Amino acid sequence: MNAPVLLVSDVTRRRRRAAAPVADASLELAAGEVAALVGPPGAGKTTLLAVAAGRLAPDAGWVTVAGVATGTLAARALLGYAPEAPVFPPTLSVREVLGYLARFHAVGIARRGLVAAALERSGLAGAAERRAAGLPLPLARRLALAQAVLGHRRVLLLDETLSGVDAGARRTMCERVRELAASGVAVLLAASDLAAVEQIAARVLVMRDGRVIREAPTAALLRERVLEILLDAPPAAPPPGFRLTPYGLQTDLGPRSAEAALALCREHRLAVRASRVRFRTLEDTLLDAQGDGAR
Amino acid sequence: MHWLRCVLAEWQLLRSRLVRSRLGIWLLLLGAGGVWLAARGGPLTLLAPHVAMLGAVLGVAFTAGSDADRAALSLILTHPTTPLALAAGRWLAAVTAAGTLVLALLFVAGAVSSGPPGLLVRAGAAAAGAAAAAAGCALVAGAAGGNALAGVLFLYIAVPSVISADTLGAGPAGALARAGTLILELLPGVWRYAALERGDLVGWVHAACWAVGGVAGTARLLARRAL
Repeated sequence: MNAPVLLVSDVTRRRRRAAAPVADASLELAAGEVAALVGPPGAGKTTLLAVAAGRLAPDAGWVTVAGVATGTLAARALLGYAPEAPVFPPTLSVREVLGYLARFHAVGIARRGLVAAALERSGLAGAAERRAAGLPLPLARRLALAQAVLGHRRVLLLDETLSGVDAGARRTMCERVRELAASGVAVLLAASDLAAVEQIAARVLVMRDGRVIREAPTAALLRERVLEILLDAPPAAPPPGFRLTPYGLQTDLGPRSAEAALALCREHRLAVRASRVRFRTLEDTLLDAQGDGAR
Repeated sequence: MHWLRCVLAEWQLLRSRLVRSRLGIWLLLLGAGGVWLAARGGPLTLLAPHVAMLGAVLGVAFTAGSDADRAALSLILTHPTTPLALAAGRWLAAVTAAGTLVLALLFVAGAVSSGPPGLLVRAGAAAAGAAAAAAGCALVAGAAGGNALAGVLFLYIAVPSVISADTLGAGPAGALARAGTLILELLPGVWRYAALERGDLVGWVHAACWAVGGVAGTARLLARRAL
């Protein structure tokens, strides 16, 4: 792995107001890497991103962006943040919002170039003269991404930026994120839209109750096999390593074969009506994080 | 240099607010009221600071105090600008709005009346000081309590701040009178800044304190503002 451009070390932030708490969260992000934070609502994803962006101060731990403490002027020049519910300055058009924010990054021709590129690459050229404050959600998300990218930042934090948009818009935005990653920008996104995560994230970090409880390459997570078993009658208790489902049982196979798992069911005198092996989805991972109650 | 660019970025928000919000209309109405009073013999040395202070509060209300403006700070402050530059730029925008209004008022008043040019200059200087102080105070009010608090300040400047603290202090003593006197002494007031045209040193120091303190206090409030 390259030297990390974003380093989050043992960050803790206690619950304050509506922000969910974060406890001992650590992560590293290398240049050009795309990682995703997933987890149930209230898991602390937004809080962790806000701390990493320097918008919230941690109670313990620290965050650096390319070796610079987050929240400082130098760090804000290196790190772009697209909040979950972006609020743009009122009365300004999309072009003016980008122009206003670009003033903090460049001057003269360079600034105008930044704005033109941002409009073009985010697919907002057609909406450039619309009022930013009244944009529908998909366009507001695009503008949030466009402003976060301004100034050739090296790290991007995207909070649900790829969620709540239609498939076409999502594909366009995913392509934009891939393009940015290919140019060396590290991207950390919090997403409830797992389809987008599967498309672009190389690594997934699962959060629950403010902690990162699992971290794995997306490909590895999606390679895991799950055995689903349909039973004639539900058992009083599942065999070891199995979970109860509304239709029967489920287990992560790991290195085991499906036959070995089915043999275990027969040893427990369970009447297996049917079974199938499928690959694990990110939704399974998320539901695991939410616990059995969500199943 | 970067800091000045950030200040300028905030200041440039004024143009869109003037033409796309009600700020322009309110300033026009305020200016028209000022001209109407000046034409009926109202003293320019009192009218100009009064109009300038009200214009400055309106400028802050329409560039910094609204809920949307305050909410947008979360996004703006993820870019390489500083709360101090933000506060200074918006203060400058409000003072510019008020200054433009006063210039127009003095121009029209000068054209319709036959006062000495020196009077217009002195009234303009007093108005500049008054606008700077009122904008600083309104910024703090807007950052702390939004436009609700800025509205209270507007009403205070519009009516009670014309009364001199000395006048109130000379009346019957009581807790209410003492509190009123204290407010009139502390907050920017027309009674105090009307004396700026005579070179009142205390008045100028008072205005400078509100201008500098208002910007610095607002920057501090913005820096502490969390999601």
